[in-house]
Amino acid sequence: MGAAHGGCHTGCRFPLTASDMDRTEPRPEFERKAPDPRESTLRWIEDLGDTGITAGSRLLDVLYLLANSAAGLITFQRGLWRHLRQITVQQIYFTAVQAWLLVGFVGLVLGVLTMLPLHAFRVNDLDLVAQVVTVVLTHQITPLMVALIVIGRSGTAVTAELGELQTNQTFDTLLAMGLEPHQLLVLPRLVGITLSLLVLGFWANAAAMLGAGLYSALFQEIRLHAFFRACFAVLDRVQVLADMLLLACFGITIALVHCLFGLLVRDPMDIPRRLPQAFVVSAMGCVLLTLALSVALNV
Amino acid sequence: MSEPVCELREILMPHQRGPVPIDAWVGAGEVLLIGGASGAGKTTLLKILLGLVNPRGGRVRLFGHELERLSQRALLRLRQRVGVAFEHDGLLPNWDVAENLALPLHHQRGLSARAARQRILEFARRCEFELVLLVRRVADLTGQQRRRVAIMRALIAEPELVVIDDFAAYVPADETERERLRATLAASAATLVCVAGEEMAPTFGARVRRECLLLGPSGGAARRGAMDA
Repeated sequence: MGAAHGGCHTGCRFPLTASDMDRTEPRPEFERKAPDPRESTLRWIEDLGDTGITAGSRLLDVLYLLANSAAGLITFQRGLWRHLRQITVQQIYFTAVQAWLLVGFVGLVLGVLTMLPLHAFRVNDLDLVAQVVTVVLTHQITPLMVALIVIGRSGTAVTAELGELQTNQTFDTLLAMGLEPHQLLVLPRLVGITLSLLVLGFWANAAAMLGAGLYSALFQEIRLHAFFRACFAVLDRVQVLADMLLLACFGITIALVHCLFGLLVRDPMDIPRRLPQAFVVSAMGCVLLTLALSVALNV
Repeated sequence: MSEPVCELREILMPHQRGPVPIDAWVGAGEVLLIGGASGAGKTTLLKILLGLVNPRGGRVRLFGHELERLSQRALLRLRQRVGVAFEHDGLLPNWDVAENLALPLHHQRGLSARAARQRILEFARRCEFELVLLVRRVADLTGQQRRRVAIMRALIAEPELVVIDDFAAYVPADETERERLRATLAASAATLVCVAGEEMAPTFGARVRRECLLLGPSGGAARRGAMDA
């Protein structure tokens, strides 16, 4: 595929050797042929097939990673719990504790931003305001924003760290010494990021409600406690559980995708390439999960 | 003749072009050196020996078990009797040295935190390793210190088999350091399989088998060279 696209034999699109550079030289004008429409259609179908196969294979990789890591919770590998506890606590510290201020601030701003158009359109009905704020903020915007912050702060760090371990042959070494590296290094990150997202999600929602409540109290003459009472009246148990499920799914998706892209690293130069790929895939996953949950709750 | 700790029978490497299959075995407490040109498949052979890579043909026996007949879980348990130092050190760079050394003690030997700490201190003293480095992050160590820690981690849980890839990279330039490494290896009763040229044989003393497995450029066995250990 690489050669066909003018790249090197390893599949990359940059020439590495003199012979590769020769291959990528543009052909003289008189040798160029007009593109055959049938060939370009076939190539398009071929590319589509390649993309589908890659996506399917990555999905299987993610499921394997999830199953193999989760097996650590039931197989009780000797000495695993000690490291599971230690790395999980570290992950929660990096993901949740160190980000609480940032997430709180973002939540507060989101609350104000949600109230601005309502104020501009002179929507002053308390019940309607509470419904809009609760649905838009707690089910959609705030969890998604928290997920993006976690992807940017912790997800990319996980990809870079696991990528470094992969190039350092740590995974091979652990496996060769009878330690299951997925259970030692992936499982605690999976647990840590998922728990962190649950905590950060609720914290951000609280901050967002506070932001919206303060704005409505200052500019719409809605009393703060009346605003909170109206918001909590909108929230029912099913919706709270759905929010928790969404946040947990975000955590699992982010952890697995970023760990997988870290494990796909083959050499140090691969790490900067994998980071944005992991970011895009996990962010897309979170957007699709939000869409699915919103549709499910509204149908 | 002692019972072989590991045995390779008519092994064909995954990408082998040459027709000569590889046969080798090593008995308890012995040292087997594997030599050959760059790209000959020395590291791949080590991975075949540990069941990390499947050969194209042949049989591998480790501690009397045929690897292809073992389940993944049984293979993992079998490997808990092995210490490994690959070409790159394979350490966890964000953990400190003591945590890295404790890993095989917890997982392979099932030691408690206190017992592991005692064993680490005793082993570091025996290897003349600076104790102050035990609390330092691996990422903050020099390359030579990291390689030393990697060898120590491979040996600390007293595994029955130790596999070292690219042994030359682990041999320090400094004579005192080299003597320390020699003493550390000599104190271990483990069977050793090392990727190393015949010139490295004196480092291992009299335990080296009198023949060295040499791989040809095409991946098959070139010859089993005799050496004077």
